[in-house]
Amino acid sequence: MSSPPYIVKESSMRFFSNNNHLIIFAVFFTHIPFMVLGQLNEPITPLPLEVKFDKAKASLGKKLFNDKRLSADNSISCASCHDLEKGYGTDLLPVSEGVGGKHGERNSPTVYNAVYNFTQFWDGRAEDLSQQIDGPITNPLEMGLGTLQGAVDKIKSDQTYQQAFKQLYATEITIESMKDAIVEFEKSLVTTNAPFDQYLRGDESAITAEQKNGYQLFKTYGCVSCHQGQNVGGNMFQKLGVLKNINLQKGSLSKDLGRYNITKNEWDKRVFKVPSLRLAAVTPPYFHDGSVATLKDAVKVMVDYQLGREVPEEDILAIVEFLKSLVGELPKGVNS
Amino acid sequence: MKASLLIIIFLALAILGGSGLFIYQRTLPDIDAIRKDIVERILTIDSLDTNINELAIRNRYNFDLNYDGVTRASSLLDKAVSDFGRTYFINKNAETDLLARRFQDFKNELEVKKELIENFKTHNSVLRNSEKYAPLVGRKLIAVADQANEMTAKEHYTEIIREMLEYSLQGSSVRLENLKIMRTQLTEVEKSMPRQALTEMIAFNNHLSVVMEEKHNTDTFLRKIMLSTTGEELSQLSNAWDMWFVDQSQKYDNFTILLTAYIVSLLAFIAIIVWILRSLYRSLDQKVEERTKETEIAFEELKEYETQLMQSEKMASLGQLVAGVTYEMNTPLGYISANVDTVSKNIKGMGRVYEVMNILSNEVSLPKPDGKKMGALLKHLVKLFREGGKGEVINETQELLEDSTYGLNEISQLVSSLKDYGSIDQSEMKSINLNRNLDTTLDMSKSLIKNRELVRNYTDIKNIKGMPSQLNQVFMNVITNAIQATDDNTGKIIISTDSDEDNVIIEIEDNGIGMREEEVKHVFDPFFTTKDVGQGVGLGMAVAYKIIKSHGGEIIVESQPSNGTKVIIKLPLNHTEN
Repeated sequence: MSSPPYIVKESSMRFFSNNNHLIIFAVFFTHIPFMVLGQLNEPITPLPLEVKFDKAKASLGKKLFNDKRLSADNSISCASCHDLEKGYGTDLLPVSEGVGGKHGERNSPTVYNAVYNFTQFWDGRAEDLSQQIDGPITNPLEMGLGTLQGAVDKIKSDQTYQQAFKQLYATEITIESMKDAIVEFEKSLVTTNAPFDQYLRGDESAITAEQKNGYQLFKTYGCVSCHQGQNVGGNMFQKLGVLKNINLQKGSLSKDLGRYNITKNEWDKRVFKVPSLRLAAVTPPYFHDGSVATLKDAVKVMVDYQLGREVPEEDILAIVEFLKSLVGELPKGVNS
Repeated sequence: MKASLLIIIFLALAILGGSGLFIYQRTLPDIDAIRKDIVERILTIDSLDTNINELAIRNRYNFDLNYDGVTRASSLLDKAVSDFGRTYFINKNAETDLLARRFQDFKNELEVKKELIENFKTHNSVLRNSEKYAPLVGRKLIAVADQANEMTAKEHYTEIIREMLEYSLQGSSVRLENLKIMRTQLTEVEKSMPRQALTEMIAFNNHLSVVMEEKHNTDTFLRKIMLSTTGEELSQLSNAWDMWFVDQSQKYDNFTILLTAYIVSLLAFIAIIVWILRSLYRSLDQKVEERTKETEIAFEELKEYETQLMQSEKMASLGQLVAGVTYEMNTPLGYISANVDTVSKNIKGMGRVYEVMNILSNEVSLPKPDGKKMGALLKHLVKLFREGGKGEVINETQELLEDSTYGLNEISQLVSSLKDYGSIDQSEMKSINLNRNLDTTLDMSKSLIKNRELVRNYTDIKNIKGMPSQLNQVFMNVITNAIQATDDNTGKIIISTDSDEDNVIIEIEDNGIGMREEEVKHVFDPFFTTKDVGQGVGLGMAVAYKIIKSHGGEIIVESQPSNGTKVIIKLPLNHTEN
């Protein structure tokens, strides 16, 4: 009467009891890759929630970052062009004003999340943050000190610096230790836990429906071909005007030859580092010369010249909405 | 002298050679550590390098949808390589140093590869966009053609999209050639298409061209990445390192040979020194033996001499004794002799009385005494009696004899003292009371003491076992010193005896000239004397010390210049002779 189910039950029991470990093993190893791949298969990944850096060195670096003595006429600090509060690491100007009111040619990119960029500067001429520091300090249009040693010499007279460096680096202030302190501070400048990151981590309610839609459009329109990874960009070079000649643009975007100036490769004309879009929503104006004022216009330029498409206005707006969800929290201790 | 010079030379050579070797060794690298480090570094670099290839493929075939992986790997590779360079090639000239050249070759190749990767990323992104978008636009155009009933156009678009997708998947040149032909045909097809689809047609054309171009580019870059010779360059570098290690181990072998030579020469040198030292010691041994013999002989002689000296000191004190005795005996003997003279004279006078008395007695005894003769005899007898002081002679003689008896008594007493003292060499332990011995000695010294004040603070001490003659000599010596140190008239000598549980303590204190600390230190040294020449040879205290020690006792001298001297002698109550 009840024998068939009983038999089935028994056989199934025997199956499990005999091969219990095998089953667990199989489930474990067949599911893990999917779980991992499931996450990897989003082209954008969240920024780490916690960043590692040496607190003492970073706080020394912060002091240097805000120190106007690092410029020729004591008027400009790193923070002058990379305002850590209002400007989200930029000065919100097309191009920054250096010593003596001189203007450079390129827009100041944000220092936030710069540690995750594969190279530094618009044309990627610096391999890392440490190399990057050489640029603005020595550039006559920016801080105008001529040499890094000039910067070291200026801060050497400060007893508190001397003490701090002796304590942390066991040496006098050197170019290396000065740069290291600043780099250590920049490592702390990560905007973690953006709504979109929360969404990626599984919180469906972290972003709005429009933002979700914007993300899908961002993917389908192909923006994500270049703006991908944890920094939503910042890990490759791309040519400006892949599908439409940038000379057709009414603004000034075609003037700067970008990476060509360094490599002299014909193909590298107007090749720039793909910028991170993490803080794009809060760091106008846009592009290497800051010539485009709004995010909407910037997206339009990109869609037009890079993707070679016609995109309806509402989609553009959705993408802009999505970009807003990429803005993370300012790290604690930056404001104080 | 010679040996010490040799040792100095040896040490100098050892230090020089050792430090030379040390410096040489310092110039030699620590091969094992370096090998381990190098292997680790090369492995890391190699695995990152191959990892990059894999990651690029993953990007190409959309396993990875972003470039974070390849970017991270490539920046790690960069860091590993520049670390490698910083550690090992910082001051190396690539033209002269093989390792540096190989490393430079690898770095150059890696630079090329990095450039290829960047290009791949750039082109791959563009391709990805277009290969996704072109079919979308194409589908729209198919729909448009369908609506316009342009079946050739529809078919052509369908065909070209399929061909494009296959090309973008397989990348074969045949497909590319097909595509090129189809694209030229497309201009014809487009003419039949409705004008409202112009934008789409341009876009499609654009993206198709991008796919064709970028697929080719991307594949070329990817192929170049895969064919990049970084791996070979790295293995070349690794080989160069292997050669370097062989080279270095050669150096190590040289070093080992040098080290062995150094050690052998050191050992040889040590052997020479040992040999020299040995022969030196042998002669030294002989010398020591000779000297020992000489010393032994000298010691024997000295011992003999010491005995002699002790004897002579004994003789000296004996001489003193004799002088004292002579002095003591001279006075009684003097007056005894004078008395005897007088008595004999008196007796002579009395003898004549007796002669006359005898004749008278004979005359009286005769049967017929001669009166006349008897009268003359009586007359003569009276004359003699009167001449003899009428019997005073008898009284005088009586007194003289009494005096003499006193003198003889004194002499007899002195002799009995001498008898005590004379037993000086009787090495026989007796139970003695030191108070008595002190008294005896003081008696002997009476002539020397003269007007010195003598205080005897005796207490009732127990008998000890000792040799009286020897202890007498000790006391004699000490008291003689005390006497000689003090003035004849103002001198004061205090002699105290006392006892505690185990010892009898004798203190002989004087108020004499005393001694300086330096002198006190040497007071028991043989031949040490502060006295004038002839007063003593300086053995008194030495002898005393020896005797007291042989009695298991202790003798201490306390003295300060012009503050007197105190000699404390402690003798044990129960001394067992060893």
